[in-house]
Amino acid sequence: MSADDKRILTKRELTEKLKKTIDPTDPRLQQVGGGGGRRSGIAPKPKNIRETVKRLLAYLGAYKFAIVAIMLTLVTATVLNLFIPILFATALDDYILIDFDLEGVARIAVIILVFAATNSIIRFFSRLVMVRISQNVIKRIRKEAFDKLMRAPVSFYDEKGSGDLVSRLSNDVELVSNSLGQMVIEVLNSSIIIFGSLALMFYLNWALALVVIVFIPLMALFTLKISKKTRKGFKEQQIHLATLNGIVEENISGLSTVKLYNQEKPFIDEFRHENDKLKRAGFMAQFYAGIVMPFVHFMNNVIFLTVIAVGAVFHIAFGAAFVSIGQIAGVSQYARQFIMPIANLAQLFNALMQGIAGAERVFEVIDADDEYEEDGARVIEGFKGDIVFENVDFAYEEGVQVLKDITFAAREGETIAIVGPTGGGKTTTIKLLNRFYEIMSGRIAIDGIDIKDIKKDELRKQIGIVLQDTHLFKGSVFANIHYGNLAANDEEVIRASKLAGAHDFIVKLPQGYDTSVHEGGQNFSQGERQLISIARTILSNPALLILDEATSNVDTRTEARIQQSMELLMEGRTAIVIAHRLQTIQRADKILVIHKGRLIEEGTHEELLARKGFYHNLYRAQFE
Amino acid sequence: MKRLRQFTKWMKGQSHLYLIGMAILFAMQYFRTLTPLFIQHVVDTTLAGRKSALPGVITRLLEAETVQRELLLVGIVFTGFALFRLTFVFLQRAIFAVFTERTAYKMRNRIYDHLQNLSFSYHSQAETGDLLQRATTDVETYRRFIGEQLVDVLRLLFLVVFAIVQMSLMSPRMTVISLAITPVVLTAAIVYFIYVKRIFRQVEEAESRMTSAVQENVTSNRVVKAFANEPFEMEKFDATSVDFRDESMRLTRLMAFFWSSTDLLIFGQYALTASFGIYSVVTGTLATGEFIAFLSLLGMIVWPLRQLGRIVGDFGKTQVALERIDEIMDEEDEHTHDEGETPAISGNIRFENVGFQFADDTKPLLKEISFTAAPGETLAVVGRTGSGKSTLMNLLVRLLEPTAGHILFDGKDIRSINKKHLRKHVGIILQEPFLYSKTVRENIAILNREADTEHIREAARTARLHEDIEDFEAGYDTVVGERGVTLSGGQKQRLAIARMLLERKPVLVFDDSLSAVDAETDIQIRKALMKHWRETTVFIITHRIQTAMEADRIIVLENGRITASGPHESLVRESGLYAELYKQQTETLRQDGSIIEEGGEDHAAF
Repeated sequence: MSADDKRILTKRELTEKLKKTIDPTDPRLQQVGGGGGRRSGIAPKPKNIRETVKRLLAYLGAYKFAIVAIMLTLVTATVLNLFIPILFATALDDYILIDFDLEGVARIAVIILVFAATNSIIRFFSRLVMVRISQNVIKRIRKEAFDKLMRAPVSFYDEKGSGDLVSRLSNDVELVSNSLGQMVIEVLNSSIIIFGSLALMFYLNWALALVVIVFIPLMALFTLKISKKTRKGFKEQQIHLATLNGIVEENISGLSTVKLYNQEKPFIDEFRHENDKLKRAGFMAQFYAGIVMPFVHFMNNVIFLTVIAVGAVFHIAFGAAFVSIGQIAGVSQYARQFIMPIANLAQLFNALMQGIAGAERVFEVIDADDEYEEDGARVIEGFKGDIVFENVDFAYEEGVQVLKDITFAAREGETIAIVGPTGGGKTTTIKLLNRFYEIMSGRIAIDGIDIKDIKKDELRKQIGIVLQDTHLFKGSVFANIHYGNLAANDEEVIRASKLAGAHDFIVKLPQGYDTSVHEGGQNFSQGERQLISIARTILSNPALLILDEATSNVDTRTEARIQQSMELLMEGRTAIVIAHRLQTIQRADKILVIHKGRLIEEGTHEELLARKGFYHNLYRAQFE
Repeated sequence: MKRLRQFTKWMKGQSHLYLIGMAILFAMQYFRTLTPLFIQHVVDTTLAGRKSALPGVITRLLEAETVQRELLLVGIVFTGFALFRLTFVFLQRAIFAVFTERTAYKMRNRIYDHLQNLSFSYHSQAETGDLLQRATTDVETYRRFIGEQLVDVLRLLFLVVFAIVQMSLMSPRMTVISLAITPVVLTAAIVYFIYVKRIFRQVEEAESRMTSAVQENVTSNRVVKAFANEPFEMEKFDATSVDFRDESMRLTRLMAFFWSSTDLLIFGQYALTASFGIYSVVTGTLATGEFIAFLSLLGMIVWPLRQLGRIVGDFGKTQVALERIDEIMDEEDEHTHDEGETPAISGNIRFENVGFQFADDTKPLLKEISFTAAPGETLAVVGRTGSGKSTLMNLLVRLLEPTAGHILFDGKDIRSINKKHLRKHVGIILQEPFLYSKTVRENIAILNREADTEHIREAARTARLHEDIEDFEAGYDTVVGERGVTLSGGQKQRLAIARMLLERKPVLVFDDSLSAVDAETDIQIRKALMKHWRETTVFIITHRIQTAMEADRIIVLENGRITASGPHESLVRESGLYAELYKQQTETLRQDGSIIEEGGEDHAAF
């Protein structure tokens, strides 16, 4: 995609987008305090809940029995736990207050202990099993997503953007993982506690239970209100924190510019401004988060008190037959257990929705097209290298045609130079050859075979690409070169780097071939990166070559070396070069001038000069 | 003591807030332990006529003729009491929130200011990611600690103290029994969380290995595809994924074991308290209400104890964070000892035997550099990569200080001139200019924020950038950088030149700053610039002979020394690096640079 295909966002649009893309519940965001780099791309509301849940359940299907068993035991455990206050009430009423029965008390104490222990043990195992299941499911989802990512066409990456894809495979998978493991259990748990407590309160004493019920809507309402405020506060805090981190990051990486241009003051002011906003948002978040629990406690106390007061009045007015002391104690204990599960459920519901939204986004990756699905079948042992483009039309997006009617041919061993103004379609042309993108109409053939009929990975192995901006992987220098042909042995790797002219500088590195390459190869100069990449391409021994020779930011000597290596690489191979050097252009067997998506001139240097057309003008503007 | 200062120094100016907050927190914990005593009062005093555990001030409020009335009074007083507590808790939270946010705010400001003022040599050695982490994550760690964790710990501590007081007032013997197992729970929690921290780190590492595998494969998917190495990558990723799953499982097993076993311990404590309590109630040494109050008080302190373990386990983290921050703050600010003079600078520059060597380097980067330059003169510096060209220019603006010799501006030693003043008068245009994620307009106007639109456009026109900008959908309001549109190397360089055009500088340095611009545009721009900067001393650092030969004088740098200097005509005739480079570059016919287009223009997507 060339620069002018990209849609440019205004600052306001960006801010909007940013606001939407920060996910306040992202656990990582909260842990590290908002690493500005990672943002997920959509609002956390899932679009199609039913479909997504169905699909998630399908993943869990393999563990059906285990899950049902866990659910049942969990229900049992929670119910057992719920019975403890009732037992307690019985003990008070039947064995302690009336006349003391040590044996009865002991019996109940043992039962309570057994219940509690059983509960702990069940929880221990069910949690373990549930986590194991969810981890396995998550691992499977992750694998499916990654494998699809590897098999997705290049256009998929263009469409989604790398940041978004990374976030889908890390943050979103994490969200799903959270919902699968803990959340299901917690939702179940909280619901059982709420309904179980209600039922048991009624069982104990319906009059007191009615008193409690009056309070429930009130409590629920307040809790939801406050937790909503808290969420909003945290969200804003995260957004401001991310912005602030962005400022610091930018400032540090551009520090020499700041210093050279005396920009310290304005940047400090800008920082202050943003920092101030963060302070305010932080205050709101912290305050609201801080008052949730005290409020819950307050409500608990009010209910507790009401139960006791009302219970006492009933007890005195109507006697122990209507309300016993034990019943008061029991109901008041149940009443206390209420608010937390309600608050929890509100929170869990949100997290669950986010998990589903995350799953939706991961599934989108899994559902991406597989470029190997409709693959050609032919495997060709070594190309000769005749390339033909016949009336090729191409568009990245429908309606915006980038290449129109491109027709040319290259014979075995020839060098074809492509020249033309920026954005005219040069890079696009070469990207079509290894089927990173599919053409709209026309035909591209190698040795007379339509490239659509050739197996993609075979085709790509036979085409070597060397670009101006080379991407190296994290790992050793050796591993990076070896990447060109994973079957090669050590000697072959070294031979390839010698041929590429990279050996000399590599052996001078502190750890030679074992020197580690940082992410993106940042610890190597552009020239060195390019030499390594040439070595990698030599090792892969391609039949065809695609080269981009712009070497503007490299010093003359390195440039000469790169040039030399490239020439060596081109010997005896068909090569298509996006040419910048006059020498290459003059030596080329054919020059293609591509302008505004069309092939407007074609011929050798002399022929094109003699024609006095577009090329002639370009050449004159440049060299005369 | 030193540690305490390290910890409290950031609170300066706010500590009174913290103390008030703490005082309220302290008082509130006392009131909190009174809550269960209301039940005791009802059960024992109101209903059974025994002694109340509530303080006299409150019991006096609860006296009435009939039981019903007393109960009503208890209800009213209790509600009032709860409301009172709620109000103060809100107040205390608000105070802490103000305190922590203000502290963090000031802290961030101070660190940021300091980062700006650290020397260039510090920044060239420090890693951006590391600095960023210190300025953000470490501050967050501290903020969380003072605002949440420390408060939690103290709250619990106060609560435990008051709970023990209330318990002992009722029954010392029961108190001992009720707290028999709790120390075990606390110790288990602390030991466990310290141990599990290591496992946490392993999980995090496994996760980050996995995420960076994704990241790398996504950003370089074209390379993977070009070599058809997808199966290899899938296998590699699967290994990291399995690793992460196994580490997480290990952590979960430990967690589950911890929570369940401490659950059991706590139940054991309950059972112990309950059985002994019942026994005491029956034997008459304990009132029923007191027994209930004991169970409530126990519940108040025993559950949070486990969380305490987690917080104590995290204590070390905050200390490390503060140390990391201090490491930055202890670095010397480059402007601290820079009062310096601010003389008029006209552009007469003289280098006298200047040498430079990094403190931790064995070899000097520059040796015995001497030359002069006058206003209106253009000086080219030619040399290979690593010959010291850029170091020379960094010396000129005191980003680095010479370790030998003198640099004189209009006869004045550069060391006596104020750094900011100096930088204001020397304009440097870098080879890879840094653009901020702001609009194109803001990026151009960075040296002169008040510049009006017409001036900005004019500057862009002179730098041959205007048409490119007009082609963007949002024109001058286009946002540049990671989150907006990516400019090509050439566009960036032209933008950097446009920046310089908004201010008049007596000295200008082009640090290979037209290397990515095609030759034709290069010439056009330079012609336009010459008009603009007639009275300026111009340095051109380049490896393009074509560019260098137009200078009045050329300095050839080799391994940190000047090996030749003079105009193009004389240097070409001497045998040496310059002539060699000239031959090399003209052999391929004045070819350098790009014939048709700017380098790197449309490879962004490849």
